[in-house]
Amino acid sequence: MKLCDICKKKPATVQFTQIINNEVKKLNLCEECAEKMGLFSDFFTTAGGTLLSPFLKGLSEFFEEEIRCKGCGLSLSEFQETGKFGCSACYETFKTQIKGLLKRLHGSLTHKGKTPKIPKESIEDRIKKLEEELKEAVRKEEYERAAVLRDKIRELKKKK
Amino acid sequence: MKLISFLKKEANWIREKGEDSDIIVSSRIRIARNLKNYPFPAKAKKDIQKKIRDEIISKIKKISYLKKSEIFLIEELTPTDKRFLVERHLISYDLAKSRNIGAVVIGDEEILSIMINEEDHLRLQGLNPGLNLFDTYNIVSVLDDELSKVLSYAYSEEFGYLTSCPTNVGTGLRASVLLHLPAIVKTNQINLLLESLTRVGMVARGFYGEGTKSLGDFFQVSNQITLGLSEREIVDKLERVVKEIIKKEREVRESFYKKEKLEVEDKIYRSYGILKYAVRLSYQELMDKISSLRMGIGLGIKLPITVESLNRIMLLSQPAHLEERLGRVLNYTEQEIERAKLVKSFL
Repeated sequence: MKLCDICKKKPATVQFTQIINNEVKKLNLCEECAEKMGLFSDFFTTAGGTLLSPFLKGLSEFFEEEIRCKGCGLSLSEFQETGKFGCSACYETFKTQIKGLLKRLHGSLTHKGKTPKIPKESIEDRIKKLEEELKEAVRKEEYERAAVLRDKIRELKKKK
Repeated sequence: MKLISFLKKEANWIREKGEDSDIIVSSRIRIARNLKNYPFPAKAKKDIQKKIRDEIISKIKKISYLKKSEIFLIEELTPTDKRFLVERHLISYDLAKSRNIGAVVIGDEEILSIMINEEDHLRLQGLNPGLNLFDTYNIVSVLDDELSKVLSYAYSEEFGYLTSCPTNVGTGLRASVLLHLPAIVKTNQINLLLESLTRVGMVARGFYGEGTKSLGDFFQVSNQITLGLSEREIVDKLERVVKEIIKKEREVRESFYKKEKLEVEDKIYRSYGILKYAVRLSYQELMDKISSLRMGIGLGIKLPITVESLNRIMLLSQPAHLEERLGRVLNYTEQEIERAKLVKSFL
């Protein structure tokens, strides 16, 4: 039987998978340690800027190396402290971590409003990029997102 | 102090406009935008902040209808100047306090204004009198479209416009209405209102915006949700909520007035007397009295003053406005004396 990755004493009965910077990390935990990390509690019980939860804190301690944004060097714990991102790349870096927060704040994860007016020649590039994203979404079986992307492509093609 | 010229001009929003002008002061739209290739202001070094500011200003200068606008660099302003702009709702407290290399661009009649390097690279604002959210949104959106053709915005197909704070992501839109709600406050129903606002994704803030307290029963009601709704939906929802609040405020006013006629009238006329004869006035006291008079006008009580002059008094008797007018810094007692003199001259 596998032992818990943290206390290395009790049998691991909880498996947790987290994707950080496209790397899959797996944790095998006993119930007690999982409880300590807040794995059973609501992730984002505190509203507003802080998504500081014992769970995430526990995770970053365990993995030692903190996730940092490649764009500006912001770490997850810095974000948790200020509630502010450092650059636009942070949204991509911390995508998995902020989904719960965004859902709590806005009740949604997808933009529905206007788009920047871009010079005509780059519409082609945008469509190409979106089509790639669409393929990716279908491959990952994210159909809701795929539908949104499909609509956006249609709209852009109309503008051409 | 270089802003004295503003005292000679009238801010568009103080005008009395629309049927509910006794309750609604102004409608405001704010849109947050960032440039793709730079960190957000808080993470940008001073030289980068300056580069961002220079780039944005050079693009703004090319927009035809902003040709007449005034541009102020934050580091060149005195503390009084900065406070003056906060009092006029042209910059935020945060930008006034900030050490960022920031700027503010102020368009004709102060309807359009742009903050540079506040929490986000760009904060576009439109401010109009009365309940006028759609028109105000449209003028800000047109400016946004113009800028998006010449500046590369930080935008993702998934999350929309990317902002420093995730509370603004998506549309980056904050629509707000400045409301006067004395009857709801007087009958202790304000907390109830605040709670129900939260439930529909709205929030009420104090007189000068986020993190400020309420003065003279004025509240800024605004949307909290910026992601997952279109700009039209956000504005429409706020407008509907505001209309409900106005209806409620009117109902409470009428029944309160019916029940306590003598009391209410006495308080309103006394307020007028104090403003006319006081030798010193704190801003807090002034706002209390203005609140009574404004409600009096709304109830149809005969008073020798209009909502528009009350708006003007409210604007001009703020501390930095008094200082800017006299061209010097005033201590608290001087402020109170100068305020009383100014108010008297309007009555």
